[in-house]
This record gives sequence, structure tokens and C-alpha cells, in this order.
Amino acid sequence: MKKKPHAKNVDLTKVPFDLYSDENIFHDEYDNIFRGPSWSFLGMESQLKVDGAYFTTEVINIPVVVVRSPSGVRAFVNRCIHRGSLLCLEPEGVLTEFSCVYHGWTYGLDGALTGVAFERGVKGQGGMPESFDKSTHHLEELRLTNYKGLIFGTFSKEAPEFSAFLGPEISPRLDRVLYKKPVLIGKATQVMHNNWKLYVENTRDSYHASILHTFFTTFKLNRLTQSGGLMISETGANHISYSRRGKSDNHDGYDKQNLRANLDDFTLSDPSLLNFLDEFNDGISLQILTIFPTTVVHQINNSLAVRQVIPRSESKTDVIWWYYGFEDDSDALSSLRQKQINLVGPAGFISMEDGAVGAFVQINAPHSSRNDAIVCMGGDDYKSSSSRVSEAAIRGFWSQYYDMMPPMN
Amino acid sequence: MIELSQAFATAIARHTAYLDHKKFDLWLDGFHDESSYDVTTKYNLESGFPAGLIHCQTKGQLRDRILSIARVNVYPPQSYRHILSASMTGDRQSEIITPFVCYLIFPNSDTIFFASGEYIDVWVNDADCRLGFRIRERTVVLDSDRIDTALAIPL
Repeated sequence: MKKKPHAKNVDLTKVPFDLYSDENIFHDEYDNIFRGPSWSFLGMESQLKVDGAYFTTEVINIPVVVVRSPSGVRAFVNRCIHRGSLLCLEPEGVLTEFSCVYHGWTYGLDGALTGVAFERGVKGQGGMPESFDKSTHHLEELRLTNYKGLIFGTFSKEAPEFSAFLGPEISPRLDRVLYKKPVLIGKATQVMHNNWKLYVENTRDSYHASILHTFFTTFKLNRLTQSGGLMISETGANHISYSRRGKSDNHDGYDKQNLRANLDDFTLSDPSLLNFLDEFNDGISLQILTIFPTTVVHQINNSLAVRQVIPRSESKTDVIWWYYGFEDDSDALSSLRQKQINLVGPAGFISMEDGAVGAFVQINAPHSSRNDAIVCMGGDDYKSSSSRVSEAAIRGFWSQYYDMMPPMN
Repeated sequence: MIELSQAFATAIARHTAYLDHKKFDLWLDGFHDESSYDVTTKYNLESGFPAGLIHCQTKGQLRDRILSIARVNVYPPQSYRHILSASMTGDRQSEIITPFVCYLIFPNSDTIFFASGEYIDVWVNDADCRLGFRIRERTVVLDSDRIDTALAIPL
């Protein structure tokens, strides 16, 4: 696959540290990426079992409510159009209509304004002017895609169709881990003291995974010497990194590097934690899939999850882990998914470090404005490759990022 | 079923202090050979969701976690300070509930409020343990879904 040179002629092998620490950049991202033509993960359809069932979430800092209405799943900005108050206060529940606590304005599950308290005033006095037409008012609605049970939303009419945005390389790999109806089996939020891009770069960074995450390497869950690869969408926006388990791997590369990551004398008293049922029948035991800007879908052995990344400010980010299984999971598979919660999430043996390492970079970012981060492992482009000793997927992220952002000085 | 005696109150306070003082071997010794240890959130528990934060079905798995955070995992230098509230009996047979809060202390930096919740436990008398009691089952139920940076040291 041939890559065209970047339209804005940006050197993708260098990342200015200001991009992680500048408040103005964060505002530009709000306008151009998150309110712009990108898709954000909002939640799982399995959370909306009946009409009126809803949950609240956020896109960047914008409160959003996702609801099952008789006309299908819909999402609105969680904001009364009258004075801008929050409408739904609980994280989830079931309702028959939206009702604002402030002045009692009500909306149908389709977002249409249905009621204005004291619309005609009291005893002929006060009230709304005759010219006020309820039927022309509606909650601000997001465009939705329900992709096999995962709900994505965008504020933009210009955003490409979701599956087209994924690209032909990535969509079959997302279908792979959604081959049956996903069902939520647990949630947790990891609060990170770093810019959102440091986390989403981290998930595209196949170079670090087996070095920082010693547990991964010690137990041979993911070594760069294992067979696998990187696949990157033509736009650079989305990627997968994958590896296969245990086919006579040669681990010499690690021994020669004398990495901290190679604690061969450390053994588990209960190695069943690392069991793997080949549920997708392809031998792939690890697949990290990223969707620009802020969605990650992982398979780590039999742990499946969507990670919803919510930027809070230029230096704060929430990562919500949506652990899922499938409706007809066997007892053995359910129990393995529950056990492998120990590997992932805020307390995960192989993911707890990502919360800390982002903060280690963030601390230095404001003082590094004369420096750039170096991202040239594996070249200067973002091609798919069989080698994961590469930062190509990070460069792909930046290519998409610069495409959406205004020109930078 | 054990009594909520002064001896028990001292035992659970001492056991929790082992974590705060990073005496992980002594903390682990407070668990029965046949014991389980889980950390989850109120939301997951009330939703019937099995996937919480930590799930150790055996003492061996708990030992693995202690060894891993001591030798393998990377996290900022830190320690805990737990404050326990009075234990009470729960609805289930032999269940003892102890509310707690936990602060997280970063040396030369901030002390932050890290977690609040309840220990939902089953304890047994055990003269072999210096505490006089051991845990058969512990479910740590956190009030909030949010974990700041990482949950490395068990709660």
C-alpha cells in the first residue's frame, strides 16, 4: 500500500511537546476533532434493554445521554435547551420522558420539546409569547452508529460513515472481536494525569508494550519476538497490533537486551490466570485495535474490553474500561474473562503502568517546548508491517490528527 | 461465627496496618489457605457484573499479586493510610462488614484521598495466626468507580 506524503508536510517522526501541555491546543481539539468529523465511543447497547433505558456519558467534556427510544437508540447533549441545565442527573436508569429539574421543560425520548411549564402563564398573565413554537425546538442530537452493539456518536454531518472511516483493513478485525452480541460484564474508570494523546499514542505503541509491562514479557504473553504484526488503515487513523501465542518463539532478543522486563526466575503459583481459549479460532491471543481519536478495543487472551478515553483537560484524562463477553459464553469462558480482569484495567498486571507512565511524560511536557519527542522507530511513514518494533501506528495517529487540526505554526 | 469482640477489632486493625506498613507477608498470613480476595465497585456489585478490579479465587493468586507488585510492576513510590470504622455483622451468615477510607501518600509529594468502601468479610478463629483470626473471604467494595492512576497495592 502506497502512502501519499502528508498534505501539510509535517514531519511525523517528531512530536512537539507543546501538543501535550498547551491549553489552546486542547480548545482547538475540542472544535476540530471532538465537535468535528470524528466518531467517539459512547457505550454498549447491552446497557439499554428496554425503551426509555438510558445512560449518561461524555464526549470530551460535553455531557451526553444515550437512550433507547421506540425509534431506536438515540443520543443527545444532556442539556435543556431553555437555560442549559443538565437533564439527566443519574448515571443510568429508565425514563418515559426527559424532564428538566430547573423549570420543568419536558422532551420526548426522540428529543422533541413536549412541554413548557406555565407556557400560557397563570390566569392570563405571563407565559411564553404566541410566536414560541415548541415543535421547532429539539435537544441537540448526535449522529449515531450502532456497530454490532457498540454505540459511536459524532456531532458532525461531515463525518464519513463509521465503517468507511475504519477502513477495509481494520473493520474485519473489529468484527472479529464482535462476532457475537457483546454484553457488558463490568466497568471501571482509570483517572490519568496526562494529556489524552499520550494515552492513545501509548495504545498504538507496540514498541513499549513488552518493555514497560514486565508482566507481559515475563509470562511470554507478548514479546516482540512472537509472530504478529501491525496493520494500519490507509489514513493512519486506526490500527491493530496483534500477536500469536507460543509457537516455538525465539526469545533471544530479550536476553541480549538485558531488559528489566525479563524476570525468568519469577513464576506464578497459579498460572491458570494466563490460560487462553482460542475462541476466534485463529491462534491470535492479543489484539489491540485503536480507532481515532479515542477508542481502543482489546483482546488480551480472553479479556475483551472497549476503552473509552475521555479528555478532561490538556493534562487530565479518564479511561473507562467496558469489559464485555458474549451472551452465550460458556461457564469456562465466563470464568476466564472474570479471572483475566487481573491482567487489565486500573489494577491490571499488564496495564497499571500506563496510568503512571503518561504522568511521567506529562510532568516534563511544559518544560520541553524546545524539544520534540522522537518517533522514528521503524521509519518515517505509517505502513502496515510484520514487525512490531515500530512506531508506525503512532505516526499514523499524528497524520490523521494534523489532517483535522488547523495549521500549526 | 466469630464474635465482634475487642480482640477481633484489634485483629482487623492490625491486619490492615500491615498493608499501610507494607508488611505484605504478614498481611497475606492473615488469609486462610482456602480464601478468596476480590476488589470491585458498588456499581458492578449492584449491577451483578462479575468483572471488577481484582479477582483472586485462591490464596496462591493473592500471593502472586503481592509478589508481582513487589518485583514486577511499575508504579510511583507510594504508601497507604487506612482508617477503619467499627465492624458490624452483615445480612449473610458469618458476614462482617467494616467500612474504611484509604489515603494514598506519595513521598515528597501529595497525600490524596484514594478510596472509600467496605470490607465484606468472612473471618474464622485461627490460633495459628498471630492475629488469632484469619480471613476466609474478602470482597472489597469501593464506593466510586474511579481509580486514580492505578490500584497497585491491594486495599
